[in-house]
Amino acid sequence: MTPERWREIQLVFHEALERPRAERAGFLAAAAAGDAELETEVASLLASADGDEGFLETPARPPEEAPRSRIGPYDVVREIGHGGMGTVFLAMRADEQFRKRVAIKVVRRGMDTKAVLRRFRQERQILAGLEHPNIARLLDGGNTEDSLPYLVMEYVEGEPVTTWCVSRGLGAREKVALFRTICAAVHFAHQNLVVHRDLKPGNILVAEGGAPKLLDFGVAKLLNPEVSGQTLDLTGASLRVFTPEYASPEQIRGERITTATDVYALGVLLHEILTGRRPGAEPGRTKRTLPADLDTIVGKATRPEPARRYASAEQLSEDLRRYLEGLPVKARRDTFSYRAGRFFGRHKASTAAAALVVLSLVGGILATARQARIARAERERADRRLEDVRKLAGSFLFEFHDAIATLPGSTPARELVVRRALEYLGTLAKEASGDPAAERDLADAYERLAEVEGGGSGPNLGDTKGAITSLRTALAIREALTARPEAGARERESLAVSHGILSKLLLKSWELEPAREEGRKAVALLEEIARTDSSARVTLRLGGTYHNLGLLEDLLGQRQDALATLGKSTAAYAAAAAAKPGNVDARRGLALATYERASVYNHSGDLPAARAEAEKAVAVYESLLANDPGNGRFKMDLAMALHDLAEFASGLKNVPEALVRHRRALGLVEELAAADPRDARARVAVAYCANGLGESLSMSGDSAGAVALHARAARLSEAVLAADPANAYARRNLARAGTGGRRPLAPPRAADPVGSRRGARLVRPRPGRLAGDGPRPQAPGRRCRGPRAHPESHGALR
Amino acid sequence: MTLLLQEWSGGDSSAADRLLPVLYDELHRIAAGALRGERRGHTLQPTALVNEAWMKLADQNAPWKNRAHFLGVAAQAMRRILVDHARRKSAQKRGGDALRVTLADVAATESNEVDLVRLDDALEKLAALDERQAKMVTMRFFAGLTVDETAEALGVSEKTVKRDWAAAKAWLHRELGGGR
Repeated sequence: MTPERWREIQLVFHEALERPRAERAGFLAAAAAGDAELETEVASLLASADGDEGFLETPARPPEEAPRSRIGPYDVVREIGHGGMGTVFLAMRADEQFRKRVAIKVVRRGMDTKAVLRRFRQERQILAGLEHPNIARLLDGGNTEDSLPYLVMEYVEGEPVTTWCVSRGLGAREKVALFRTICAAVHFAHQNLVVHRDLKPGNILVAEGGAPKLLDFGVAKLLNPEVSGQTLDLTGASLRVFTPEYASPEQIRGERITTATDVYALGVLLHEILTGRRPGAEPGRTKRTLPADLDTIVGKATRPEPARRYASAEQLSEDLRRYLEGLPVKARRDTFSYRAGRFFGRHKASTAAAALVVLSLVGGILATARQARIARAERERADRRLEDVRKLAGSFLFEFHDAIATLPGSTPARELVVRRALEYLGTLAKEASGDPAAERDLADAYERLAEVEGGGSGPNLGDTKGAITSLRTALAIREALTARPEAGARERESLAVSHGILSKLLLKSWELEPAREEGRKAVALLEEIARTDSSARVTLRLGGTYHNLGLLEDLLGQRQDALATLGKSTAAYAAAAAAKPGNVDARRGLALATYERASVYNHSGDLPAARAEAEKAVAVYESLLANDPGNGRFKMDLAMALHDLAEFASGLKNVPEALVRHRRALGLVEELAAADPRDARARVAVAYCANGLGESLSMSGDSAGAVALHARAARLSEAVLAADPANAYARRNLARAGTGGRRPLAPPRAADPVGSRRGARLVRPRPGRLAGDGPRPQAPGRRCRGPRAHPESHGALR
Repeated sequence: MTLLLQEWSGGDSSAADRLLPVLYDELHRIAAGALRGERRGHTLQPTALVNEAWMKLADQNAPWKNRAHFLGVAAQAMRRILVDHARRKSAQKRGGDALRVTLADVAATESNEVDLVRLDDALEKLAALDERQAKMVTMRFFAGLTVDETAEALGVSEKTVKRDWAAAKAWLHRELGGGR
C-alpha cells in the first residue's frame, strides 16, 4: 500500500462510517465504483472498527514488578514484603540435600544502574565475611535475568524489636539489656568497617528465644551510590536509601555517613523501645516519661553534631551498663562540662565561685534550652527540603502561571501548570500538616485552579462547576486557618476574598440566593477589617464586594437595597480614587459601580436616569482604554457599557444611536475573541453583543441582517454550552437568539445525532412567531434588557 | 535543555536524538520512583509521568510553545520504555530454563492486553503510510495525551485528531488480528 492509496481508503472509510450500518455496504459498492481492492480494504477496516471498542483507548500503563517463581537457583515460596529498596521473598535453595530457607531481596527497578552493580561487586565480599550471631548473614547475590540485582540473606523468623518488647511486656531494665545486645552487634559491624545506615525496628527482628538479629547490614550503602554535587530536584531524596524517622541530620543533608550515623539511629531506637515513641514525637514531654539518666543518654546519642555523639555503639552500650548498675552515666558529666565550658567561654571575667552559683540557677534553664534547640534544629532540617519544594511549586504556580496567563491560547497550558503545582502542594500540606504557610499555599492554589477552570478575570476553560468545587475547597482551608487563635486580619481578608469569588461563581451558574449569602459574608468580614485599615487595598476590596452584593440584590428584585449598596460601592471607590488619582483600579471600580446603578435604574423603569449613568461610565472606560489600548479587560468593560447604553437609547426610541453603540460594542468583543479562540468568556460576549445589534437592526427594518446575527449568537452559545453546560450566560444568550431571530432550519444530520439532539433540546421552536418579527417588542419607556446576561459586564465578576 | 528544545523545535532532528535519551532517563527514573511506592494511592498514568518530566526538565525560561514538542518527544520516549520492557519480557519467556519469570506484568491490566511489541511493529508500518498517524497513536496510547493535547502537539485541529485516530485504530486493530 502507498501513502496515497491509504489516504484514498480513509476518505471512503470515514464517509462510510458516518452512515447507518445497514447502508454501508451499498454506499461502499457505489463509492468503490468497481475498484474491488478498495472495496475489500474499506470493508475490512469497517469490520475492524466495529470490533475495536476499547482498543488503545486506555493508555498503556508502565510496567509493574512481576511476581516471581524463581530467582537464580532459588525457588520463591512467597513474598514477605516490599519496601523502599525492593521486594523481599522467602525462598528455598532448590538443588541441595537439605533445603535451606533464605530471604531474597530483589532490588526495585530504577535502582538497577551500573553504579549500583559495580558497588555491589565491591562490597559483597566484605558483607559475606560479616559473621556474628546477631547479624543476619549475606549468603549470595546476583542479577535476575531482567538485570535486577538481588541479595540472598539468612532468613530470620521474628518480630520487630519494638513490638516484641511490647508483646512480651518487658520492663525497662530488660529492654536496656536487649538493646545492649543490639549495640554489640552494631559495634562488631563497625569494627569490620560496615555501617548499617538504615537501622530501624523493621530491620531488627527478635527470634522466639529472645535473641535479636539485625537485617540488611550495609545493604543501604550497596544501593546508595554517593550523591555528589546534587542539585535540588523534586525526587532527589528518593535516590538515597534511609528511613526519615531514624535518619541522622547529616544523612538527611546527604553528607558523609560514618558510624555516628548508626549511633544516632540507635539513640532514636532506644527512646522508642523505652517510651513507645520516637524522640520529638511529643516535644517537651520526653523529660517526664524517661528517667533523667536515660534521657541524657538518648540526648547524647542523638546530638545533631556527629562528633558530639557517643564515639561508638560500644560506648553507648557502656553508658547503659553504668545506668543499669546505678553508676553515674558519662553523658551527664559530658553535659555538665559542656555547659560549664560554654558558660566560662562567654563570661571570662567571672570568678569560678560566682559562676558556680549562677550555674546552679541557670542549669535547669540551659537544659530546657538544649532540648528546645535540638528539637528546633531537627525540625529546621526536615523543613528545609519541604520549604524548597514548596517554593518551587509556588513559583511555578504564580510566576510561571502569571507570565503566560495573558498569552492568547495559553488556557489549557495554565490549567496543566496549576494542576501539577496543586498536586505537589497537596502532598506537602499533608506532610507538613498544621503548617499554616503550607495550608495557605494550598488554598491559594485551589483559588488559582478555580480561576483557570471557570472564574476570575482571565480567559478560562468554561468549567463553572469544577471552579465552584475548587473554590469551596479553598474556602474550607481558609476557614480552618481563620479559626486558629493566631489568625490575623490578613487571614480574615483572604477568607473574605474567597467568599467573594465563590459568590461570583455561584452567580455565574445562576444560584442567586446562595450567591447573595456568600456576598453578605464577604461584606461583613471586610467592613470589620476596614474599621481599622483604611488602605487602598481594603477600600478597593470593599468597593468590589459591595458592588457584587448590590448586583445580586438587584437580580433578586430588591431594587432599593441594590441602589443603596451600590451607593456604598461608588463611595468606597471614589474615596480610593481621591486618595490616589492615578489608581486605575479605583477609577475602573467607580465606573463599574456607576454603570451597575444605571442597570438598576433601568430595571426600575427609569430609563433617562439609566442612560445618564451609563454615559458617565462609558466616558470613564473610554479614557481608561485610551491610556492602555491593548487592555482586554477595558475593552470588555467598554463593550458591555456600550451595549447597555445602546439598549437604553433604543428604549428611548433613538435607533440610530443604538446602532452606532452596538456596532462599536460588537467590534470590541470580536477583537477579544479573535485573540484567544479558546476563551469561552469572549465567545459569550460576542453572542451577547451580536444579539444586541441584531435586535437594533430589526428595529431599523433590516430583518436579514438581524437573522444572520442571531444565528451567529445561537451557534456560539451552543458551542460554549457543549463544553460548559452550567454556563447560564450562554444559555440566556441562546434563548435571546431564539427569541430575536428564528434560526435557519438545519436538516438533521445522521452523522451528528448528538448535535441535533442538543439543538432540539435547547432551542424550543416558537410557533406563532415568524422570521422578521424582530426582537421582543419593547414598548417605549418599558424596561430594557440590562447587562444581566454577561459575566464580565459587572464589577461583580472582576 | 532549553537550547535542545529550541533546536528541536527548529526541526534539527539531531537535537531530537540527543533529547530523547535525556527524557528517556528522566521518565524511567520517575516511573521507577512511582514503583517504589512514592506515590502510594495514586494510579500511575503515563500522562502523569510525562507531566512530571515536563515539570522537572522544562527550564522556567523556556518558551512555552516548546511544550508541544516536548510532548511529542516524551511520547516517543514512553513508547520506547514500554516496548523495550515488553520485548525483554517476551525474550525471557522464550528463553526458558535459565530463569523463568512469569509474564504477568505487561499483560496484567486490561489496557495492556495489547501486545506492545506487535503494536510497535505495526506502528512502524503505519508510519510508512502516514507518519502523523503513527505519532498520534504514540501520543495518545503511550503517553496518555488527550485529544486536545495531541492536537496542540501536532499542530492540527482536534477534529483531524479524531478522524485520524479512528482510521489508525481500525487499521492497527486489523493489523494485530482484531478485525474479522
